[in-house]
Amino acid sequence: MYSGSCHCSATSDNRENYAAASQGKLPSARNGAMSTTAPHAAYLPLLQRFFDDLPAGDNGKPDITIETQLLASGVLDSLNLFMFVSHIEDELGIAIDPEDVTPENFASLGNVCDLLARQTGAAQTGAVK
Amino acid sequence: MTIPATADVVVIGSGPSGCMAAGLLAKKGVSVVMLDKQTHPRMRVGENIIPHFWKFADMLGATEDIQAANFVQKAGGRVNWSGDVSMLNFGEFGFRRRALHADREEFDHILARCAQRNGAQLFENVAVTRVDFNGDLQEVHYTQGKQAGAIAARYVIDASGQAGVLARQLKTRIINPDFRFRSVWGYFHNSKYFDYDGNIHDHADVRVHPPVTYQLSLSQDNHSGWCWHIPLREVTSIGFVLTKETVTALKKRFDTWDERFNHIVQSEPSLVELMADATLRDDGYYFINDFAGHSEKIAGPGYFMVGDAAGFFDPIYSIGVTLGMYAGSLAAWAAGECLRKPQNEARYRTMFERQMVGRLEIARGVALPHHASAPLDEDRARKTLNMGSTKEFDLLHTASKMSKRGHNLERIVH
Repeated sequence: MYSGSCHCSATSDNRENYAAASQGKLPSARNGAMSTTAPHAAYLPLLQRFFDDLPAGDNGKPDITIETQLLASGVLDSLNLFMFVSHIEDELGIAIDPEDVTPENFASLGNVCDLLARQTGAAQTGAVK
Repeated sequence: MTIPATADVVVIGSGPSGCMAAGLLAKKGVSVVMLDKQTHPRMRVGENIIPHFWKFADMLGATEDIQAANFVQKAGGRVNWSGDVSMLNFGEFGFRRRALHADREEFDHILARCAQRNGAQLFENVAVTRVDFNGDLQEVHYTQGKQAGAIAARYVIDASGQAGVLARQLKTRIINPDFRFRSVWGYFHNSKYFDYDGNIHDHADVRVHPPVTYQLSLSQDNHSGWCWHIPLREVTSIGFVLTKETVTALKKRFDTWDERFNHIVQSEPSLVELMADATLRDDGYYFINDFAGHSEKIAGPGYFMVGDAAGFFDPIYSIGVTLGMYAGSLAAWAAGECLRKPQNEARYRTMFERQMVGRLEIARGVALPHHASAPLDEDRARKTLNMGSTKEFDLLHTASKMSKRGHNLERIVH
Protein backbone atom coordinates (compact mmCIF):
# COMPACT_ATOMS: atom_id res chain seq x y z
CA MET A 1 0.00 0.00 0.00
CA TYR A 2 0.94 3.61 -0.29
CA SER A 3 3.36 4.76 2.35
CA GLY A 4 2.12 8.32 2.25
CA SER A 5 5.47 9.65 1.16
CA CYS A 6 5.91 12.56 -1.17
CA HIS A 7 5.82 10.15 -4.13
CA CYS A 8 2.18 9.35 -3.56
CA SER A 9 0.75 11.98 -5.78
CA ALA A 10 2.91 13.51 -8.41
CA THR A 11 2.54 17.25 -8.29
CA SER A 12 2.43 19.22 -11.47
CA ASP A 13 5.98 20.32 -10.67
CA ASN A 14 7.61 16.96 -10.67
CA ARG A 15 5.47 15.92 -13.63
CA GLU A 16 7.20 18.63 -15.58
CA ASN A 17 10.51 17.31 -14.35
CA TYR A 18 9.66 13.85 -15.65
CA ALA A 19 8.78 15.24 -18.99
CA ALA A 20 11.98 17.23 -19.14
CA ALA A 21 14.01 14.20 -18.08
CA SER A 22 12.45 12.09 -20.75
CA GLN A 23 13.54 14.61 -23.31
CA GLY A 24 17.08 14.56 -21.95
CA LYS A 25 16.92 18.11 -20.61
CA LEU A 26 17.74 17.25 -17.02
CA PRO A 27 21.16 16.46 -15.64
CA SER A 28 22.05 12.81 -15.39
CA ALA A 29 20.42 10.72 -12.73
CA ARG A 30 23.78 10.23 -11.09
CA ASN A 31 23.86 13.81 -10.00
CA GLY A 32 23.43 12.89 -6.35
CA ALA A 33 22.29 16.34 -5.35
CA MET A 34 19.15 16.01 -7.49
CA SER A 35 15.79 15.45 -5.91
CA THR A 36 14.39 11.93 -5.92
CA THR A 37 12.33 12.70 -9.01
CA ALA A 38 15.23 12.64 -11.43
CA PRO A 39 16.62 9.13 -10.92
CA HIS A 40 13.40 7.29 -11.44
CA ALA A 41 12.60 9.34 -14.53
CA ALA A 42 15.65 7.62 -15.96
CA TYR A 43 13.49 4.50 -16.18
CA LEU A 44 11.17 6.18 -18.61
CA PRO A 45 12.70 5.18 -21.97
CA LEU A 46 12.82 1.53 -20.93
CA LEU A 47 9.23 1.67 -19.71
CA GLN A 48 8.08 3.34 -22.92
CA ARG A 49 9.72 0.61 -24.97
CA PHE A 50 7.05 -1.82 -23.74
CA PHE A 51 4.37 0.25 -25.43
CA ASP A 52 6.28 0.43 -28.69
CA ASP A 53 5.99 -3.35 -28.95
CA LEU A 54 2.25 -3.50 -28.24
CA PRO A 55 0.02 -4.24 -31.21
CA ALA A 56 -2.14 -1.30 -32.25
CA GLY A 57 -5.61 -1.52 -30.77
CA ASP A 58 -8.94 -0.96 -32.48
CA ASN A 59 -8.24 2.77 -32.33
CA GLY A 60 -4.62 2.87 -33.42
CA LYS A 61 -1.54 3.45 -31.36
CA PRO A 62 -1.33 6.41 -29.00
CA ASP A 63 1.85 8.23 -28.01
CA ILE A 64 2.75 7.28 -24.48
CA THR A 65 4.00 10.15 -22.35
CA ILE A 66 4.67 10.28 -18.66
CA GLU A 67 1.15 11.60 -18.15
CA THR A 68 -0.82 9.30 -20.45
CA GLN A 69 -3.62 7.71 -18.48
CA LEU A 70 -2.66 4.11 -19.11
CA LEU A 71 -5.51 2.30 -17.37
CA ALA A 72 -8.36 4.77 -17.84
CA SER A 73 -7.62 5.07 -21.57
CA GLY A 74 -7.37 1.31 -21.97
CA VAL A 75 -3.81 1.42 -23.37
CA LEU A 76 -2.83 -0.84 -20.50
CA ASP A 77 -5.61 -3.41 -20.20
CA SER A 78 -6.04 -6.01 -17.52
CA LEU A 79 -3.91 -8.47 -19.48
CA ASN A 80 -0.96 -6.46 -20.73
CA LEU A 81 -0.75 -4.79 -17.33
CA PHE A 82 0.81 -8.06 -16.17
CA MET A 83 3.04 -8.29 -19.20
CA PHE A 84 4.20 -4.80 -18.28
CA VAL A 85 4.99 -6.06 -14.77
CA SER A 86 7.13 -8.78 -16.39
CA HIS A 87 8.77 -6.19 -18.62
CA ILE A 88 9.74 -4.12 -15.57
CA GLU A 89 11.21 -7.18 -13.89
CA ASP A 90 13.14 -8.29 -16.96
CA GLU A 91 14.37 -4.96 -18.22
CA LEU A 92 14.91 -3.06 -14.98
CA GLY A 93 15.51 -5.95 -12.61
CA ILE A 94 12.91 -4.60 -10.19
CA ALA A 95 10.41 -7.06 -8.73
CA ILE A 96 6.85 -5.79 -8.33
CA ASP A 97 5.01 -6.93 -5.24
CA PRO A 98 1.42 -8.14 -5.84
CA GLU A 99 0.33 -5.57 -3.25
CA ASP A 100 1.66 -2.86 -5.52
CA VAL A 101 -0.36 -3.93 -8.56
CA THR A 102 -2.98 -1.27 -7.89
CA PRO A 103 -4.89 1.10 -10.16
CA GLU A 104 -3.09 4.03 -8.54
CA ASN A 105 0.44 2.72 -9.11
CA PHE A 106 -0.17 1.96 -12.79
CA ALA A 107 -2.38 4.91 -13.67
CA SER A 108 0.43 6.57 -15.65
CA LEU A 109 4.15 6.13 -16.29
CA GLY A 110 4.69 8.93 -13.79
CA ASN A 111 3.02 6.84 -11.13
CA VAL A 112 5.00 3.77 -12.21
CA CYS A 113 8.22 5.77 -11.89
CA ASP A 114 7.16 6.79 -8.38
CA LEU A 115 6.51 3.15 -7.53
CA LEU A 116 9.91 2.10 -8.87
CA ALA A 117 11.60 4.85 -6.90
CA ARG A 118 9.96 3.56 -3.74
CA GLN A 119 10.90 -0.01 -4.62
CA THR A 120 14.55 0.79 -5.12
CA GLY A 121 14.51 2.90 -1.99
CA ALA A 122 15.48 6.46 -1.23
CA ALA A 123 18.81 5.24 0.15
CA GLN A 124 19.87 4.24 -3.33
CA THR A 125 19.12 7.58 -4.86
CA GLY A 126 21.79 8.29 -7.37
CA ALA A 127 22.75 4.65 -7.79
CA VAL A 128 20.37 4.03 -10.64
CA LYS A 129 22.00 3.72 -14.02
CA MET B 1 -0.12 -39.73 -32.30
CA THR B 2 0.37 -40.96 -28.76
CA ILE B 3 -0.03 -38.85 -25.66
CA PRO B 4 3.40 -37.77 -24.43
CA ALA B 5 4.56 -38.80 -20.96
CA THR B 6 5.78 -35.31 -20.09
CA ALA B 7 4.90 -31.70 -20.88
CA ASP B 8 5.60 -28.30 -19.39
CA VAL B 9 1.87 -27.60 -19.09
CA VAL B 10 -1.25 -29.76 -19.33
CA VAL B 11 -4.49 -27.94 -20.11
CA ILE B 12 -7.68 -29.77 -19.17
CA GLY B 13 -10.33 -28.88 -21.75
CA SER B 14 -10.21 -27.13 -25.12
CA GLY B 15 -12.95 -24.52 -24.99
CA PRO B 16 -12.20 -20.79 -25.41
CA SER B 17 -10.28 -20.44 -22.12
CA GLY B 18 -8.25 -23.63 -22.60
CA CYS B 19 -7.39 -22.75 -26.19
CA MET B 20 -6.15 -19.29 -25.20
CA ALA B 21 -4.01 -20.72 -22.40
CA ALA B 22 -2.60 -23.54 -24.54
CA GLY B 23 -2.21 -21.50 -27.72
CA LEU B 24 -0.39 -18.57 -26.11
CA LEU B 25 1.96 -20.80 -24.13
CA ALA B 26 2.75 -22.93 -27.18
CA LYS B 27 3.42 -19.77 -29.17
CA LYS B 28 6.18 -18.96 -26.68
CA GLY B 29 7.73 -22.38 -27.16
CA VAL B 30 6.32 -24.03 -24.04
CA SER B 31 5.36 -27.70 -24.53
CA VAL B 32 1.61 -27.90 -23.99
CA VAL B 33 -0.79 -30.85 -24.06
CA MET B 34 -4.55 -30.24 -24.14
CA LEU B 35 -6.79 -33.09 -23.02
CA ASP B 36 -10.50 -32.93 -23.84
CA LYS B 37 -13.04 -35.54 -22.86
CA GLN B 38 -15.13 -34.63 -25.92
CA THR B 39 -14.32 -34.11 -29.59
CA HIS B 40 -14.63 -31.00 -31.72
CA PRO B 41 -16.97 -29.91 -33.12
CA ARG B 42 -19.25 -30.09 -30.07
CA MET B 43 -22.34 -28.13 -29.10
CA ARG B 44 -22.06 -25.26 -26.63
CA VAL B 45 -24.50 -22.59 -25.58
CA GLY B 46 -23.50 -18.92 -25.31
CA GLU B 47 -23.55 -17.75 -28.93
CA ASN B 48 -23.49 -14.02 -28.24
CA ILE B 49 -19.80 -13.14 -28.49
CA ILE B 50 -19.15 -9.56 -27.34
CA PRO B 51 -16.50 -7.66 -29.35
CA HIS B 52 -13.80 -7.88 -26.66
CA PHE B 53 -13.00 -11.32 -28.06
CA TRP B 54 -11.28 -9.88 -31.17
CA LYS B 55 -8.30 -8.81 -29.08
CA PHE B 56 -7.82 -12.39 -27.91
CA ALA B 57 -8.44 -13.79 -31.40
CA ASP B 58 -5.62 -11.51 -32.64
CA MET B 59 -3.27 -12.85 -29.97
CA LEU B 60 -4.10 -16.47 -30.77
CA GLY B 61 -3.89 -15.91 -34.51
CA ALA B 62 -7.54 -16.84 -35.00
CA THR B 63 -8.86 -13.61 -36.50
CA GLU B 64 -8.73 -14.59 -40.18
CA ASP B 65 -10.30 -17.99 -39.55
CA ILE B 66 -13.12 -16.41 -37.56
CA GLN B 67 -13.73 -13.84 -40.29
CA ALA B 68 -13.76 -16.61 -42.89
CA ALA B 69 -16.40 -18.53 -40.93
CA ASN B 70 -18.77 -15.67 -41.76
CA PHE B 71 -20.67 -15.74 -38.48
CA VAL B 72 -23.61 -13.36 -38.14
CA GLN B 73 -22.46 -9.83 -37.30
CA LYS B 74 -24.80 -8.20 -34.84
CA ALA B 75 -25.84 -4.58 -34.61
CA GLY B 76 -25.93 -4.49 -30.81
CA GLY B 77 -28.27 -5.44 -28.02
CA ARG B 78 -31.94 -4.80 -27.37
CA VAL B 79 -33.37 -5.38 -23.92
CA ASN B 80 -37.01 -5.30 -22.91
CA TRP B 81 -37.06 -5.47 -19.13
CA SER B 82 -40.49 -5.22 -17.50
CA GLY B 83 -41.64 -3.27 -20.54
CA ASP B 84 -38.72 -0.80 -20.58
CA VAL B 85 -36.91 -1.08 -23.91
CA SER B 86 -33.28 -0.01 -24.30
CA MET B 87 -30.53 -0.55 -26.85
CA LEU B 88 -26.77 -0.90 -26.72
CA ASN B 89 -24.33 -0.25 -29.55
CA PHE B 90 -20.75 -1.38 -28.92
CA GLY B 91 -19.49 1.16 -31.45
CA GLU B 92 -20.29 3.89 -28.94
CA PHE B 93 -17.79 2.34 -26.53
CA GLY B 94 -14.83 2.40 -28.91
CA PHE B 95 -15.23 -0.97 -30.59
CA ARG B 96 -14.54 -0.91 -34.31
CA ARG B 97 -15.13 -4.60 -34.94
CA ARG B 98 -18.58 -6.11 -34.57
CA ALA B 99 -19.85 -8.50 -31.96
CA LEU B 100 -20.88 -11.87 -33.36
CA HIS B 101 -23.60 -14.42 -33.06
CA ALA B 102 -21.36 -17.45 -33.45
CA ASP B 103 -22.32 -21.08 -33.79
CA ARG B 104 -20.22 -22.27 -30.89
CA GLU B 105 -19.41 -25.72 -32.26
CA GLU B 106 -17.55 -24.01 -35.10
CA PHE B 107 -16.22 -21.03 -33.14
CA ASP B 108 -14.66 -23.28 -30.50
CA HIS B 109 -13.32 -25.64 -33.15
CA ILE B 110 -11.54 -22.75 -34.86
CA LEU B 111 -9.90 -21.74 -31.57
CA ALA B 112 -8.78 -25.34 -30.97
CA ARG B 113 -7.24 -25.56 -34.45
CA CYS B 114 -5.42 -22.27 -33.86
CA ALA B 115 -4.03 -23.48 -30.54
CA GLN B 116 -2.79 -26.58 -32.36
CA ARG B 117 -1.33 -24.49 -35.15
CA ASN B 118 0.65 -22.61 -32.48
CA GLY B 119 2.12 -25.93 -31.37
CA ALA B 120 -0.20 -27.16 -28.62
CA GLN B 121 -0.98 -30.88 -28.85
CA LEU B 122 -4.68 -31.71 -28.50
CA PHE B 123 -5.92 -35.17 -27.58
CA GLU B 124 -9.68 -35.71 -27.68
CA ASN B 125 -11.82 -38.34 -25.99
CA VAL B 126 -9.38 -38.22 -23.11
CA ALA B 127 -10.85 -37.74 -19.64
CA VAL B 128 -8.68 -36.46 -16.79
CA THR B 129 -9.49 -38.52 -13.71
CA ARG B 130 -7.23 -36.86 -11.13
CA VAL B 131 -4.09 -34.81 -10.65
CA ASP B 132 -1.47 -35.81 -8.10
CA PHE B 133 0.39 -32.74 -6.89
CA ASN B 134 3.99 -33.55 -6.09
CA GLY B 135 5.65 -30.18 -5.73
CA ASP B 136 7.66 -29.47 -8.88
CA LEU B 137 6.07 -32.13 -11.05
CA GLN B 138 2.35 -32.94 -11.18
CA GLU B 139 0.95 -36.22 -12.45
CA VAL B 140 -2.13 -35.80 -14.60
CA HIS B 141 -3.99 -39.11 -14.73
CA TYR B 142 -6.37 -39.79 -17.60
CA THR B 143 -8.36 -42.47 -19.32
CA GLN B 144 -8.54 -42.84 -23.07
CA GLY B 145 -11.20 -45.43 -23.79
CA LYS B 146 -10.15 -48.39 -21.68
CA GLN B 147 -6.53 -47.26 -21.47
CA ALA B 148 -5.26 -45.34 -18.48
CA GLY B 149 -2.17 -43.17 -18.44
CA ALA B 150 -0.47 -40.19 -16.86
CA ILE B 151 1.44 -37.10 -17.96
CA ALA B 152 4.07 -35.50 -15.77
CA ALA B 153 3.79 -31.72 -16.03
CA ARG B 154 5.08 -28.67 -14.21
CA TYR B 155 1.72 -26.88 -14.37
CA VAL B 156 -1.91 -27.85 -14.86
CA ILE B 157 -4.43 -25.35 -16.19
CA ASP B 158 -7.98 -26.46 -15.52
CA ALA B 159 -10.23 -25.24 -18.33
CA SER B 160 -12.72 -28.08 -17.94
CA GLY B 161 -15.76 -25.80 -17.83
CA GLN B 162 -18.74 -26.65 -15.65
CA ALA B 163 -17.17 -30.06 -14.96
CA GLY B 164 -14.60 -28.27 -12.80
CA VAL B 165 -12.28 -31.29 -12.66
CA LEU B 166 -9.74 -29.85 -10.20
CA ALA B 167 -12.24 -28.00 -8.04
CA ARG B 168 -14.20 -31.20 -7.58
CA GLN B 169 -11.05 -33.13 -6.72
CA LEU B 170 -9.90 -30.44 -4.29
CA LYS B 171 -13.45 -30.01 -2.97
CA THR B 172 -13.36 -26.27 -3.58
CA ARG B 173 -16.34 -26.11 -5.94
CA ILE B 174 -19.30 -24.18 -4.57
CA ILE B 175 -22.69 -24.25 -6.24
CA ASN B 176 -24.02 -20.76 -5.63
CA PRO B 177 -27.43 -20.93 -3.92
CA ASP B 178 -28.20 -17.28 -4.69
CA PHE B 179 -28.68 -17.94 -8.37
CA ARG B 180 -31.73 -20.17 -8.40
CA PHE B 181 -31.96 -20.45 -12.15
CA ARG B 182 -32.36 -23.19 -14.70
CA SER B 183 -31.96 -22.81 -18.37
CA VAL B 184 -33.82 -24.38 -21.29
CA TRP B 185 -33.20 -23.58 -24.92
CA GLY B 186 -33.49 -24.79 -28.48
CA TYR B 187 -32.53 -23.88 -32.04
CA PHE B 188 -35.38 -22.67 -34.24
CA HIS B 189 -35.79 -22.41 -37.99
CA ASN B 190 -37.62 -19.40 -39.42
CA SER B 191 -37.74 -17.16 -36.40
CA LYS B 192 -37.98 -13.49 -37.28
CA TYR B 193 -35.67 -11.05 -35.52
CA PHE B 194 -35.27 -7.42 -34.41
CA ASP B 195 -32.81 -5.01 -36.00
CA TYR B 196 -31.30 -2.13 -33.99
CA ASP B 197 -34.23 0.17 -34.72
CA GLY B 198 -36.77 -2.38 -33.59
CA ASN B 199 -37.95 -3.39 -37.06
CA ILE B 200 -38.76 -7.06 -37.52
CA HIS B 201 -37.22 -9.05 -40.38
CA ASP B 202 -37.31 -12.59 -41.73
CA HIS B 203 -34.29 -14.70 -40.81
CA ALA B 204 -33.28 -14.74 -44.49
CA ASP B 205 -32.39 -11.01 -44.19
CA VAL B 206 -29.86 -11.56 -41.42
CA ARG B 207 -27.00 -10.35 -43.68
CA VAL B 208 -28.96 -7.41 -45.05
CA HIS B 209 -30.28 -5.99 -41.79
CA PRO B 210 -27.93 -6.92 -38.93
CA PRO B 211 -29.82 -8.39 -35.99
CA VAL B 212 -29.55 -7.54 -32.31
CA THR B 213 -29.28 -9.90 -29.40
CA TYR B 214 -32.75 -9.58 -27.90
CA GLN B 215 -33.31 -10.11 -24.19
CA LEU B 216 -36.75 -10.00 -22.65
CA SER B 217 -37.76 -10.34 -19.00
CA LEU B 218 -40.57 -12.85 -18.60
CA SER B 219 -43.91 -11.96 -17.05
CA GLN B 220 -44.41 -15.68 -16.35
CA ASP B 221 -41.44 -15.46 -14.00
CA ASN B 222 -42.28 -12.08 -12.40
CA HIS B 223 -39.48 -10.55 -14.52
CA SER B 224 -36.78 -12.50 -12.66
CA GLY B 225 -36.43 -14.95 -15.49
CA TRP B 226 -35.71 -13.84 -19.02
CA CYS B 227 -35.47 -14.93 -22.63
CA TRP B 228 -32.59 -14.71 -25.11
CA HIS B 229 -33.08 -14.54 -28.85
CA ILE B 230 -29.88 -14.90 -30.90
CA PRO B 231 -30.14 -15.25 -34.70
CA LEU B 232 -27.33 -17.47 -36.05
CA ARG B 233 -26.43 -18.24 -39.67
CA GLU B 234 -29.10 -20.91 -40.21
CA VAL B 235 -31.18 -21.02 -37.05
CA THR B 236 -32.00 -18.88 -34.03
CA SER B 237 -30.95 -19.79 -30.50
CA ILE B 238 -33.91 -19.08 -28.23
CA GLY B 239 -33.80 -19.90 -24.57
CA PHE B 240 -35.17 -19.09 -21.14
CA VAL B 241 -33.43 -18.54 -17.84
CA LEU B 242 -36.06 -19.44 -15.26
CA THR B 243 -36.23 -19.57 -11.48
CA LYS B 244 -36.50 -23.06 -10.05
CA GLU B 245 -39.95 -22.18 -8.68
CA THR B 246 -41.22 -21.31 -12.14
CA VAL B 247 -39.80 -24.53 -13.60
CA THR B 248 -41.53 -26.52 -10.86
CA ALA B 249 -44.83 -24.74 -11.49
CA LEU B 250 -44.54 -25.31 -15.26
CA LYS B 251 -43.85 -29.00 -14.72
CA LYS B 252 -46.97 -29.36 -12.56
CA ARG B 253 -49.10 -27.69 -15.17
CA PHE B 254 -47.75 -29.18 -18.43
CA ASP B 255 -46.47 -32.63 -19.35
CA THR B 256 -43.91 -31.77 -22.03
CA TRP B 257 -41.28 -29.10 -22.63
CA ASP B 258 -42.99 -28.32 -25.94
CA GLU B 259 -46.07 -27.22 -23.99
CA ARG B 260 -44.08 -25.43 -21.27
CA PHE B 261 -41.92 -23.56 -23.79
CA ASN B 262 -44.93 -22.63 -25.89
CA HIS B 263 -46.83 -21.43 -22.83
CA ILE B 264 -44.10 -18.88 -22.09
CA VAL B 265 -43.88 -17.82 -25.74
CA GLN B 266 -47.63 -17.25 -25.89
CA SER B 267 -47.45 -15.05 -22.77
CA GLU B 268 -45.08 -12.59 -24.48
CA PRO B 269 -46.45 -10.61 -27.45
CA SER B 270 -42.97 -9.93 -28.91
CA LEU B 271 -42.11 -13.64 -28.88
CA VAL B 272 -45.45 -14.50 -30.47
CA GLU B 273 -44.59 -12.16 -33.30
CA LEU B 274 -40.97 -13.27 -33.72
CA MET B 275 -41.80 -16.97 -33.51
CA ALA B 276 -45.03 -17.06 -35.54
CA ASP B 277 -43.46 -19.36 -38.18
CA ALA B 278 -40.65 -20.81 -36.06
CA THR B 279 -40.10 -24.55 -35.78
CA LEU B 280 -37.80 -26.29 -33.32
CA ARG B 281 -34.81 -28.05 -34.90
CA ASP B 282 -34.81 -31.86 -34.70
CA ASP B 283 -32.32 -32.02 -31.83
CA GLY B 284 -34.97 -30.65 -29.46
CA TYR B 285 -34.47 -28.79 -26.19
CA TYR B 286 -31.32 -28.47 -24.08
CA PHE B 287 -31.10 -27.91 -20.34
CA ILE B 288 -28.59 -26.70 -17.77
CA ASN B 289 -29.24 -26.68 -14.04
CA ASP B 290 -27.14 -25.19 -11.27
CA PHE B 291 -24.79 -23.41 -13.63
CA ALA B 292 -23.84 -20.74 -11.08
CA GLY B 293 -20.82 -21.59 -9.03
CA HIS B 294 -17.14 -21.06 -8.52
CA SER B 295 -14.05 -22.54 -6.96
CA GLU B 296 -13.07 -21.15 -3.56
CA LYS B 297 -9.44 -21.41 -4.60
CA ILE B 298 -8.54 -20.73 -8.24
CA ALA B 299 -4.78 -21.20 -8.14
CA GLY B 300 -2.30 -23.11 -6.02
CA PRO B 301 1.15 -24.64 -6.30
CA GLY B 302 1.19 -26.27 -9.74
CA TYR B 303 -2.26 -25.21 -10.96
CA PHE B 304 -4.46 -22.44 -12.29
CA MET B 305 -8.20 -22.55 -12.98
CA VAL B 306 -9.77 -20.60 -15.84
CA GLY B 307 -13.13 -20.12 -17.54
CA ASP B 308 -16.20 -21.75 -16.04
CA ALA B 309 -13.92 -24.10 -14.09
CA ALA B 310 -12.88 -21.03 -12.07
CA GLY B 311 -16.42 -19.65 -11.87
CA PHE B 312 -19.56 -18.70 -13.73
CA PHE B 313 -22.60 -16.99 -12.31
CA ASP B 314 -25.11 -15.69 -14.78
CA PRO B 315 -25.47 -15.42 -18.56
CA ILE B 316 -27.22 -12.01 -18.49
CA TYR B 317 -24.25 -10.01 -19.86
CA SER B 318 -22.86 -12.67 -22.20
CA ILE B 319 -19.41 -12.26 -20.69
CA GLY B 320 -18.65 -15.98 -20.21
CA VAL B 321 -16.66 -16.54 -23.42
CA THR B 322 -14.58 -13.36 -23.25
CA LEU B 323 -13.96 -13.68 -19.52
CA GLY B 324 -12.79 -17.23 -20.23
CA MET B 325 -10.50 -16.04 -23.02
CA TYR B 326 -9.11 -13.39 -20.68
CA ALA B 327 -8.55 -15.91 -17.87
CA GLY B 328 -6.85 -18.34 -20.25
CA SER B 329 -4.55 -15.58 -21.49
CA LEU B 330 -3.75 -14.47 -17.95
CA ALA B 331 -3.00 -18.08 -16.95
CA ALA B 332 -0.70 -18.36 -19.98
CA TRP B 333 1.14 -15.29 -18.71
CA ALA B 334 1.31 -16.62 -15.13
CA ALA B 335 2.36 -20.17 -16.05
CA GLY B 336 4.84 -18.86 -18.62
CA GLU B 337 6.45 -16.58 -16.05
CA CYS B 338 6.52 -19.37 -13.44
CA LEU B 339 8.33 -21.64 -15.91
CA ARG B 340 10.80 -18.90 -16.81
CA LYS B 341 11.41 -17.62 -13.29
CA PRO B 342 10.42 -20.41 -10.85
CA GLN B 343 11.78 -18.47 -7.89
CA ASN B 344 8.94 -15.96 -8.33
CA GLU B 345 6.15 -18.53 -8.62
CA ALA B 346 4.22 -17.45 -5.53
CA ARG B 347 4.18 -13.84 -6.68
CA TYR B 348 2.78 -14.59 -10.15
CA ARG B 349 0.21 -16.93 -8.68
CA THR B 350 -0.94 -14.25 -6.24
CA MET B 351 -1.29 -11.72 -9.06
CA PHE B 352 -3.30 -14.20 -11.13
CA GLU B 353 -5.49 -15.10 -8.19
CA ARG B 354 -6.27 -11.55 -7.11
CA GLN B 355 -7.10 -10.43 -10.61
CA MET B 356 -9.36 -13.43 -11.19
CA VAL B 357 -11.10 -13.11 -7.83
CA GLY B 358 -11.74 -9.45 -8.66
CA ARG B 359 -13.20 -10.37 -12.07
CA LEU B 360 -15.41 -13.08 -10.62
CA GLU B 361 -16.59 -10.82 -7.82
CA ILE B 362 -17.57 -8.16 -10.36
CA ALA B 363 -19.44 -10.80 -12.35
CA ARG B 364 -21.22 -12.01 -9.23
CA GLY B 365 -21.82 -8.50 -7.91
CA VAL B 366 -23.40 -7.06 -11.03
CA ALA B 367 -25.60 -10.06 -11.69
CA LEU B 368 -27.63 -10.15 -8.49
CA PRO B 369 -28.50 -7.67 -5.75
CA HIS B 370 -28.34 -10.20 -2.91
CA HIS B 371 -25.43 -12.41 -1.98
CA ALA B 372 -26.82 -14.39 0.89
CA SER B 373 -24.36 -17.25 0.53
CA ALA B 374 -21.21 -15.19 0.89
CA PRO B 375 -20.53 -11.49 1.28
CA LEU B 376 -19.08 -9.84 -1.77
CA ASP B 377 -15.40 -8.93 -1.67
CA GLU B 378 -16.33 -5.41 -2.72
CA ASP B 379 -12.87 -4.04 -2.12
CA ARG B 380 -11.30 -6.54 -4.52
CA ALA B 381 -14.09 -5.95 -7.05
CA ARG B 382 -13.63 -2.17 -6.81
CA LYS B 383 -9.85 -2.38 -7.32
CA THR B 384 -10.33 -4.58 -10.35
CA LEU B 385 -12.97 -2.24 -11.78
CA ASN B 386 -10.59 0.69 -11.34
CA MET B 387 -7.96 -1.13 -13.37
CA GLY B 388 -10.28 -1.17 -16.36
CA SER B 389 -10.75 1.67 -18.80
CA THR B 390 -13.35 4.39 -18.46
CA LYS B 391 -15.11 3.15 -21.59
CA GLU B 392 -15.19 -0.39 -20.31
CA PHE B 393 -16.78 0.80 -17.10
CA ASP B 394 -19.33 2.88 -19.00
CA LEU B 395 -20.17 -0.17 -21.10
CA LEU B 396 -20.72 -2.36 -18.05
CA HIS B 397 -22.77 0.36 -16.37
CA THR B 398 -24.93 0.86 -19.46
CA ALA B 399 -25.44 -2.88 -19.89
CA SER B 400 -26.31 -3.40 -16.24
CA LYS B 401 -28.92 -0.64 -16.28
CA MET B 402 -30.67 -2.26 -19.24
CA SER B 403 -31.66 -5.27 -17.16
CA LYS B 404 -32.23 -3.09 -14.08
CA ARG B 405 -29.13 -4.27 -12.29
CA GLY B 406 -27.26 -0.97 -12.45
CA HIS B 407 -27.67 -0.38 -8.73
CA ASN B 408 -25.52 -3.45 -8.03
CA LEU B 409 -22.60 -1.97 -9.90
CA GLU B 410 -23.17 1.46 -8.36
CA ARG B 411 -23.03 -0.08 -4.90
CA ILE B 412 -19.67 -1.70 -5.64
CA VAL B 413 -18.23 1.54 -6.93
CA HIS B 414 -19.30 3.70 -4.00
